[in-house]
Amino acid sequence: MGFQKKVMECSLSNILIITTSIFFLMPIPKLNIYAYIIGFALSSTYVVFRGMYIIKKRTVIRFNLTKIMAKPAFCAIFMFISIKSINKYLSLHYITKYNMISSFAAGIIIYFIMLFITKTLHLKQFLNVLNIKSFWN
Amino acid sequence: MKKTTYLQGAFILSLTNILTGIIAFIYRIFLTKTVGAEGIGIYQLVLPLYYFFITLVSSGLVTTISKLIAENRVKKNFSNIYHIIKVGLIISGIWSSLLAIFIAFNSSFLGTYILKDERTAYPILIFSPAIIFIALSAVLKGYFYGMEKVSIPSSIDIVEKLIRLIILVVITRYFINHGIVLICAGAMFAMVCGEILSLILLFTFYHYKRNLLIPRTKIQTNLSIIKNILIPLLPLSISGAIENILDMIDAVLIPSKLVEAGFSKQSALSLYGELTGMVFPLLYFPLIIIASLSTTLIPSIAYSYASNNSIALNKKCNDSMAIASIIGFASAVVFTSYPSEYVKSFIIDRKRDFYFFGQLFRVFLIIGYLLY
Repeated sequence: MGFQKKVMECSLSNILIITTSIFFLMPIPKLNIYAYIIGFALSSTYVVFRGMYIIKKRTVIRFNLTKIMAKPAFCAIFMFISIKSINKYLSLHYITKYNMISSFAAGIIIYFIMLFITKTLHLKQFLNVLNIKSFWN
Repeated sequence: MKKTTYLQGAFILSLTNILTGIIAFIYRIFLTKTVGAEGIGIYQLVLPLYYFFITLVSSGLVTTISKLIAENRVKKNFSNIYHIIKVGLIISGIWSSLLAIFIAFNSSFLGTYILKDERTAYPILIFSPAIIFIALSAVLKGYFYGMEKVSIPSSIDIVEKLIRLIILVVITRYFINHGIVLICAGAMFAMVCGEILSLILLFTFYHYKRNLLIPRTKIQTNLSIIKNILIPLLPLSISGAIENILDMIDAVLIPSKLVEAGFSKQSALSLYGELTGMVFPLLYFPLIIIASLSTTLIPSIAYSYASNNSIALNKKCNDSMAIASIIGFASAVVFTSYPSEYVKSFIIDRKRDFYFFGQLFRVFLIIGYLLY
């Protein structure tokens, strides 16, 4: 869409924020390596919101925040609760090395069910993407 | 071959990237076993320089070409599409050849003074021609992405990685008694062979597809195409090169700043190694899908934008952001629900204290989402 200069601006800001946090925050003993993570968090946040602001201001694209943020966040809460509770249940009743993997798998399944229920993902769209056969026709 | 939607394209690319990642992992294990820690050290020294030159010749090229192809596809201007590819191949051929000649004639200097190890001179000399093949391949890949035929470059990528692995095995058997430097040079040679094969296959498919469709349509002048390529390419290449340089600076800056924070030199280095070698690969793994999505989304967006279809444009942007969000939130939940246990299952040294890793992953709850 012709915003490659904005991409460069975001890359440079990203670099500037991370390098500044390494340079000034990392020598603080309490922060140490976490200073890098702080820089990483700040730069990611800046790039996401700056990008969204540019798109909103200069194009006809309008983001549906309910679809792109609220619904996935809501489904993720269910995933988190399921992982924690299933793992707790399995650890209490069956002590096996597969408890964590099983709870993660169950959490992901519940996450997808929630995504379909809330219509964040559509089953038809999902199956269409998975239709590998059509790629080679 | 049927055209794919950008979501199908992203799906194929993700599968390909996972598969090529597995092949690269096998390649790495084989190399480690044959050349040992010292040999891997030489190989690791050369790789950042190799990637830096790749960035200089091809970063942004796939994106730029795919965007231009998609825009011309809207106008059904097929003659111009092939003219863009021709001009793109000439520009990238000239630029990459100049760079390859520079690298070849300065391999000793680059090895001795930049990488500070003269044993890296041979591997540098050998990888120099690969730069040309990578640049030319980037133009052709841009064509296939722009035409929404993602399965062709994806299949070629898998074949290339497999051939590279086979050549490495053959070369290693041949050079096993000739020292680690020659084996490392052989590993670079395997990479060059893979790139040549990839270019030949891409060109064969391109030539075949090109002959299927050539209605005579208006073509742009060479100068106008060069301008259209360079305007988006330069900022993208500069950002790519700067990011590469920053990675190199980080590698020096972080350990020294950790020493200032009170860590010993050894523990500062190992802390940095743990962050970049263990935490980041896990954190960046879901990005395979997002990176694939962004590759196929760009020509798709360019197509909708050029055809003034704001409904499709809005749908594609919102759908892509929703997918990124879905992956981002899921990853954030996975990384933060049992961080220490999660890292423990991926790291072999089970006697270690994983509190540090666990805490790092916990912090990623917030940024994990935003990163994707």
